Parts: sequence; C-alpha cells; structure tokens
Amino acid sequence: MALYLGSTSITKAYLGATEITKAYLGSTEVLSASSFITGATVAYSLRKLSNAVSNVVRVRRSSDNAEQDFTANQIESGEMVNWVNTDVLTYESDFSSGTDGFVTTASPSLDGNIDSIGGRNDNLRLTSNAPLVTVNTYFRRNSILSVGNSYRVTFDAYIPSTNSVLDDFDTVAFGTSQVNVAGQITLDQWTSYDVTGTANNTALFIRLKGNSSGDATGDVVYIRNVQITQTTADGFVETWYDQSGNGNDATQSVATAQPKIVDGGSLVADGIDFDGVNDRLFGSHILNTDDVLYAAVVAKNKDFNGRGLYVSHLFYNAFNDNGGFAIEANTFNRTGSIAGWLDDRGVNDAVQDGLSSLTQNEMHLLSFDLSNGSSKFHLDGSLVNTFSTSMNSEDGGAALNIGNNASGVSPLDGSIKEIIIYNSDQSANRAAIEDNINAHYNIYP
Amino acid sequence: MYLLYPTEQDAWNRSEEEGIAMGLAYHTEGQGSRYVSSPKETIDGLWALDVTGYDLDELEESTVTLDVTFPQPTEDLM
Repeated sequence: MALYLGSTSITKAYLGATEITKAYLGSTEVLSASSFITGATVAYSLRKLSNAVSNVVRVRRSSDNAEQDFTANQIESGEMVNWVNTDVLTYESDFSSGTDGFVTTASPSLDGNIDSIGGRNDNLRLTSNAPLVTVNTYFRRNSILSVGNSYRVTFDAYIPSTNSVLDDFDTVAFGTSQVNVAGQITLDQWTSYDVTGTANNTALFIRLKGNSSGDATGDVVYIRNVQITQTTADGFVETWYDQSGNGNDATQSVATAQPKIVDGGSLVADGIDFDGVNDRLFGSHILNTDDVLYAAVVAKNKDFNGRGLYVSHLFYNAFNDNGGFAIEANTFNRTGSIAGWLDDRGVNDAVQDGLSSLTQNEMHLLSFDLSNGSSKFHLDGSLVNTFSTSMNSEDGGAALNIGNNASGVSPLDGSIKEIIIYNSDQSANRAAIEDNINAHYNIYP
Repeated sequence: MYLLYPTEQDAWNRSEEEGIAMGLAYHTEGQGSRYVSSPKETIDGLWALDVTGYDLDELEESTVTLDVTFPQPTEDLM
C-alpha cells in the first residue's frame, strides 16, 4: 500500500530532519522505507524492500552443499553466515581395507588394514624405505580441503620406540600452511592430535621428523581415526528472490556458476560477488515491451578492461531482428560505453558512453531509462548522457541476465547489491527512487 | 581439465551425475542446485565439460584432456 498526497505517491517523509521509515493508518502500514518499488517488474536486493516475499536469497554452502532460504534480517544479524559456517565433518578415515585415499612419496610406503598396534586394529602404516627423513616423509590426502576455509583435523598416532630415526610428528599442513605439532608424541602409546588451520591448497599433509641420526630405513609410524571438520565455508547464491511480488526470481542451478555471498566464512562486503569468469544468474521473461523501461543497479566493477555485464534483457525474434537493453561496461563490445539498447541489430541499436565517469572497484548507482523516445543514463543520481531513440517494441521471450550475457562473453568481475527494473515510464519518479536507494547505501553525497 | 562428449545432453547428464554424487539440493530436496558445471561447445563441434574436482572413474581419468579449443565468440552483442 502506498501513501499519496493528492495524486502524488509519497516515497519519503520526514519529521524534522529524521526520515520516517514507517507510517500506519490504524494497524495498516501505509508507508515504508521501501514503498518506492511499488509497481516494479523485478526487485532484487539483500535488504528488505517489501512485504511481498519473506526470503531474499537461497544459499548453498560449500562444505556439504546444503541449501537454505534467508531473510534480510537473517543476513543482517549474522544468522546466514553462521549457518554457512556450521561445522561439517568432511572426512572420516576408514583404513580397514586400504589407505583410504592417503598417499605418500616414492620413498616411504603406505599400507592400510594393519592390526594389533597398541591394542587397536585397522590402522594406516607408513614405512620408511630410505635412510633420511625429509620434508617428503608424510601422510598426504589430496583434494580434501577447500582453499580459503578453516579446518579442524584430529587423528591418533603411534610411533614405536624401536624406530632408529622416526620419533615424532613435525607439522600438519593445510596445503602449505603449516602448524607445528612437534613434541606431543608419547612413544609406544596412541597419542591424540587436534589441529586447526586455514587451507591455502586442497591437500592435507601430516609430516614426520626424526630427532636422532642414523638410518630410518624400516622405521614405521601408524595413524588412525583421522577426522577433518570444515569450520568455515563459502556461501553461493542459488536464488536471488524477486521482492516485487511478481515471482521473477533469478536463479543459477549450476554450482560452479553461482555467485558468492560468503567468502571463506565472511559475508561478502559489497553484496553478491561475481567472479568475472562464468558466474551468472538467470531471471525470467520480464519485459513485454522494450521501448519503455527504467533499470537501476547498485554495483561495482573491478575490471573495466573488458566487458562486464551488470544486467541485460534481450528479445530475440530472429537474427537481425531483436531488441533489448544492457547496463554493461564496454556495452556490446564498444569501448567506453556503459549502457545501451539493441533494436533491429545494426539498424537502430546504440550505446551510451560514460564508462569513464565511473571509478573502478567503487560502488555506484547506475540507472538507465527508455521512455518517450529518449534514452538517459544516470550515474550516482546525475545525468551523464541522453539521446533520442527510435525503438520498436518487440518481444522474443528471452530472460533477464545478471552478471553475464546470454552467450557468456561478458562476465562481470565485481559485485551487485541491488537491481530494480520497471517496465514502465518512471522518469517522473527517478529522482525519488534513486534518493531512496542512496539514503540506504550512502553511495554519493 | 575437460571431458569431451558428442552431444550437449551427454555432457549435461555427466554434470548432473556428479551433482547427484555431491548431494546437490535438487537431488535431495527437489529444489535448488542441480548441476556441477556447464558444457561448452568446442571448435570441433564436441561438448567440453570442465571436470575439475569431479570424482572420475578410470576410463574418464584416461580420456580427460586440457587440449580443448573453443571458437572465437561470435558477435553476440548481448
């Protein structure tokens, strides 16, 4: 429900200098901070824009691929990040029939299913086949860690006092990030290890050492009960829910193409991060006419050298007969442009220059509107460029693209906080809409 | 590293198979993530699937390749 003064929709109200974010008539909410999206075709954000939907995003966590929906409040309170960082047991050894994926270098050898060591069965044994103990004397498990995330590794170890050289563990390495564990072992007894670290590679190493001179050939070391628990994770966006009430959710069902919202256990600072390689979200078919629209994006781009698409929509009827719009660095592969439209390819398509007005790697509010035969691009609330259009309405039924274009040649290396699109003339409301967005994000003075 | 398939559907099927093995939500809850990676057409008309991180069988291990050439992007403006 919106609040009107005469026929004018009020999107902001003040009591003195204080913005009123909610107003009620009896128990009915007649004004909220987000009333400005009334009538929008799509509205994507991580903040709450309306009461039309409760969840703003569906997240997949990397540790076990579980997924869950979250509200804006759950993101703000840290509940979503906590869920992503739920401890997940990602590996538990079973040496009853072999080495269970553990390997070592050529010099030592590994054997599983070793029984009756210190009263315990099903152990993994390393046997040294060389006189010297080196940095390559280790138990190694490949492809078991996620780079940038934290882990807890526990295991039990047994070293017999009959060894000539091997008499201790040196480090546990999460890739090349090493944690010193020397001096903890008690010979001829099972000793428990509990180590935490952050991975910079995907392999786990448990390295050995020898504290005395001599020939290590034939020395043995046993481990068992290896458990790897991931304690932080990455969070990826599977669905960015449309808050307009129209159900035009943006999704990505391919795991490796999902943009990131939690990175190494921490909330991404600037919204949803697109990797500049293949991340992309697909919306639905939202625009019935392509000659009237208003699109606003809050985003930053880390790389202006290539194309980087924030958002686009394309109507393909047939080759050389299509229409649509894009807000994109180097739009349609034309250096220096920032927005544009296509219409009857090569006949009426055009781009708006203005990329040089943006600052790389800084958050901006970009808006593009087509209405009344003109095209305007605004940056941070100010007009950058305008010219007349001669577009024809066409509808090829294509879907909205976020973070890359339909053919995948314009990947955005950057992040997006908010996208709001109207399939209607909003030229009279543009300033109020952008004031509201800036009041929340404080993008420009 | 890539596996090559004669059809796009064959590649998607292998991507979904890996998604099942990984327990992606579409296969456990009926909604959400379904595939692991997306196939891309090569210059030879085959479909290359990036299988980095996949649990490959012996036959796949023997046929995986880095030698893949993708066509230059056409003038796909959007």
